[in-house]
Amino acid sequence: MARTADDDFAAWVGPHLPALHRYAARQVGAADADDVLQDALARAWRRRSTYDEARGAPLPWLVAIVRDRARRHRTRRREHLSLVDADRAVAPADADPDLERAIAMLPARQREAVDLYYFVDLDVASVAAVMGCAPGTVRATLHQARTSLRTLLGDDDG
Amino acid sequence: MAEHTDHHLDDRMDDRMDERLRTHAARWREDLPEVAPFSPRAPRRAGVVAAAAAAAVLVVVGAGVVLRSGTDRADAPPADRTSPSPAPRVVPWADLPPTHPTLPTTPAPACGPGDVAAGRPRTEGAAGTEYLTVDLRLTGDAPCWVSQDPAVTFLSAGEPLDLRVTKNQPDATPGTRVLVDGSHPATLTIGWAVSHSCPAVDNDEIRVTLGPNDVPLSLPGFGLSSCNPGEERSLPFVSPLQSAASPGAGSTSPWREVEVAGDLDLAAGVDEDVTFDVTLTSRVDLPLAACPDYVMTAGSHGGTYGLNCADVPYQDDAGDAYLPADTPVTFQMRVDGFDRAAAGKVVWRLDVRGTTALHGQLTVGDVELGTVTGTVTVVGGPAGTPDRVVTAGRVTATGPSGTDQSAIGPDGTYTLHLPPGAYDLEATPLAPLRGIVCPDRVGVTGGATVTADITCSID
Repeated sequence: MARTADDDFAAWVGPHLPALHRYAARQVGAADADDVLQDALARAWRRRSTYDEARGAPLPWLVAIVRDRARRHRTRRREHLSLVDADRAVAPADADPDLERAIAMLPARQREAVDLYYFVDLDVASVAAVMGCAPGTVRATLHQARTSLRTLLGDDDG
Repeated sequence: MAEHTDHHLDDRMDDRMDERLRTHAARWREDLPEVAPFSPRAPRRAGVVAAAAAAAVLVVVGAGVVLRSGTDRADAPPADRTSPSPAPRVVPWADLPPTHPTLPTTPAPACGPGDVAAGRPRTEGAAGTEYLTVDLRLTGDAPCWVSQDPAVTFLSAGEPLDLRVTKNQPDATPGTRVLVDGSHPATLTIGWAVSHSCPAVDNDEIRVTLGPNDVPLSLPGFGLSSCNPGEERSLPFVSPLQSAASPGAGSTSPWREVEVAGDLDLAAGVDEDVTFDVTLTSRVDLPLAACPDYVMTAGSHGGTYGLNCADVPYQDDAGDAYLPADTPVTFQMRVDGFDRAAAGKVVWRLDVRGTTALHGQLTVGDVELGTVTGTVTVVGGPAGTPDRVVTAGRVTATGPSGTDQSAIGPDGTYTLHLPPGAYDLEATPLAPLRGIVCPDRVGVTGGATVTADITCSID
């Protein structure tokens, strides 16, 4: 069977799907992650001609699209549901709810670094590529985030 | 020695938090369902182009097979962890003069039926007049415009009433365009002295038609009016539509599609050069042939400078720099050391007039900011009218460090963080009290909170 543009796109995006799915789940919760991911992939497919390989690996580009679609998803959800809980419904029953609440209170950039590094499971270089900064900045941001979390959780007394 | 011990203690606690995060994140990943095998009915929005959605379905199903065949996570494709891409370089700062560019705009279409919907109406009374205010929000993806002067008809049980609706600002230019985009609704205000109108008239619906494409909207009426002996009929009136999105313009700018990020709330010492990063992410390919200026001000100091677009590493076919869609581009910014006379709050703003407001602030010098907070209240009007809070508008403070603004919240409160000094305050409410200016004055002390309740008096 002849190889099609769809096959190429599938092969191109396939290795990144687990990370993209985890990122979507951090953004909108596990229940809505599939919808957001599909929406993002549809957009990426439509815009694939605008992707320039000189920019490097596609993960930062794809994550940015997931982030955008997740933001739109949250906006629509707020518009349509008056009693939506703003908390991201991502914590399983046996998880660490105090830690999740503290993560949700972090400044946006620290929370993004924590989500990408710990939960999406990217390495520092990939997190830096996604966040558009240097790896040293990511390490510093993660350190600041851990310090903030200790303060928020009252763990500062050692 | 004590400092050394503190560092070890800090490292240990950092390691403990690192371990706690790793443990929790690992459990979270284990409990996360695998990527679902998407079905063709999965797309919930009709707006998705069918062919594109189908292609995406194929893509995800195909990839899902790969994932399910490797249920052991250790066997999963390792690309995310082992094939990092090089971090894009930061566009270096350069000392460039402003270019005062004319930034590109695109004509927006006129809104059609279904492009705009009415939000939840708000009612408010002032000076014997009841006001109904409603935000008209964009429901489509693309910005569009409506005429500033809608047609308004009052109805009772579905039948139009013989009730003339006047224009609150008869001098407004007919047909002026008001842009509606995803971030900026247009606001419609209808007023009526409904408690002083004879003979009493019942009304349960207000029908609004937005030009030029006759977009119909339906709003709740004011209900039965009151008639006191000796009073004549008062006429309802409609104000011109208001929008924060380029008032009067029927065009949109690609800079609306740009998001800005960066840790801009910084502190620096006197005479200390400060560098910070600003990341711009555009949702569309954005040419930089017309490169925006940025502004830095600290009190009366500061100026306008050119952004270093020439060093953006992405170029189009013509060799001009551009921001690629959905790709963060980070610019290094630099503030040369401000002297003590200028110490205070530095405001940074990317100058894209009439479009997205991109701004941040940093504090220079060992200046401790003070806090000003208070409630904006309206007093006066017909006898018996109670005092009430202003529920929308802004408070502007002008003083030694320049000007700063705060929005007035729905409960009438505002908060400003300012360097020490004496400030003139000015509350400017939005509809229905638009046009009223309520002055006050306050002294700010570093590290202290001062309450400044502002009163707006009306006849």
